[in-house]
Amino acid sequence: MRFLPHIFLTYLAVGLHLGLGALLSVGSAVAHLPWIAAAFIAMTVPPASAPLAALIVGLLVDCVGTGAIGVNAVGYALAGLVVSRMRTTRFEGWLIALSAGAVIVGANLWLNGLFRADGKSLLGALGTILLTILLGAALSWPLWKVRRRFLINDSRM
Amino acid sequence: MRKRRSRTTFLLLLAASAASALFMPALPSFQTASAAVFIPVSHPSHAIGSWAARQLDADPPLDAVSPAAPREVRAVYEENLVLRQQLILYAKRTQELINLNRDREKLGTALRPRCDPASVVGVITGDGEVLQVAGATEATQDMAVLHVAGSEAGIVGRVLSTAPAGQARVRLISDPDSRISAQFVRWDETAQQPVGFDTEPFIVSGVGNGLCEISRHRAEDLTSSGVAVGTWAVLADAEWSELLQGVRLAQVTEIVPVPDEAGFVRVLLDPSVNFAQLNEVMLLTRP
Repeated sequence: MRFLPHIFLTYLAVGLHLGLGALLSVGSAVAHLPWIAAAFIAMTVPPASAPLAALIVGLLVDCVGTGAIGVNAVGYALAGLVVSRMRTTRFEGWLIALSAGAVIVGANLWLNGLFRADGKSLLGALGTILLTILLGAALSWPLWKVRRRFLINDSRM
Repeated sequence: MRKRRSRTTFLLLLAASAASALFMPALPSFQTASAAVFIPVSHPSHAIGSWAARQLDADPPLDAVSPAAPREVRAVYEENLVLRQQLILYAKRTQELINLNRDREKLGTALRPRCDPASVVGVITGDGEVLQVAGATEATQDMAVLHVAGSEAGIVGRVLSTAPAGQARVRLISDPDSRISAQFVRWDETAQQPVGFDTEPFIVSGVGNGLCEISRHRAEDLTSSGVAVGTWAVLADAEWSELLQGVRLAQVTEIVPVPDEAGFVRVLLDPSVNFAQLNEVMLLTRP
């Protein structure tokens, strides 16, 4: 039950990503709405669980996407590791963590594009990073305001 | 303990995901089914999002005959300009479709109903010569592939492999691993149809760079039967569909003596169509 808000947020983010993905994209660059949710979840669950939570969100994105399964999962997991190390109680810190994670997610998509035909080009990956950061910045304030409702302390684990 | 379990699960899932990302193809049927779970959110959000986008993008609806809101002459003029541009665009598209259908008709009444088009989405060269095609949902391995780009239809190659979502790879006749039995034909003016030369069938093999060859042929046979530069080689291979026997393969471009083998020549053939520039191929789905 403690994870219910996180599950709901993930479902909402992946559903919106599916529904609005085409509208939140420019060329091959796509704003990764689920990453914003994953970063937020990684900031609110205990640090040890943060990368796993981000990986699960990434895996869900892969499961509803068109590319190979695991591509986003790896990117989200690595970005989740970074976010879990950068845990902060300051809003600016959250924005930096979110952006750093978006860079890792985009870089992972670009690296994947070097090996697979369905991957992203460098321009697509850079656009994805930029769009994700912009969308993240726009959504950050309301998310930050409801952060306390999502917080899970280590002691409760 | 919980932390360790969480870390172990994470590492296992990470390794599995990385392996899957690198080595596994996409699973379209599973992914389509998974996406259906999110329909309660994705469907309304898409409907609202696309409606909003239409409101932002769309031109105001045309109401040319409303007496209640007479428009300025300038507005009518601008609308006319837009409509003229659209007319030109649609005329161009219609012409493209007419050309496309005319090209497809080159297959003839026997072949056309048995073929399905597929789009060429890539050319893979290097070790071999392969086309990547999309929209080939009914493709199976070794299926014959034709083109309609030249003056008449010709053989492109055979399906090498297929993948989900209509993806397939076609080995070109110019691929070094391609071997096809063929024969020469000439145009008979009286019968108004091509007739075969009096030569034995031979093997046409690919040599790369979009070219083919007959590596060794008796020179006397060619000269006595009148085969020269410009003569067409057509398919005469029992492994291919009966419908395709006699379909063009490539044209003789050069006949050169085989070094150290007196009386034998090497015949270079050009399919006359640059396979790398094809936009569409036809798959013989119902042989």
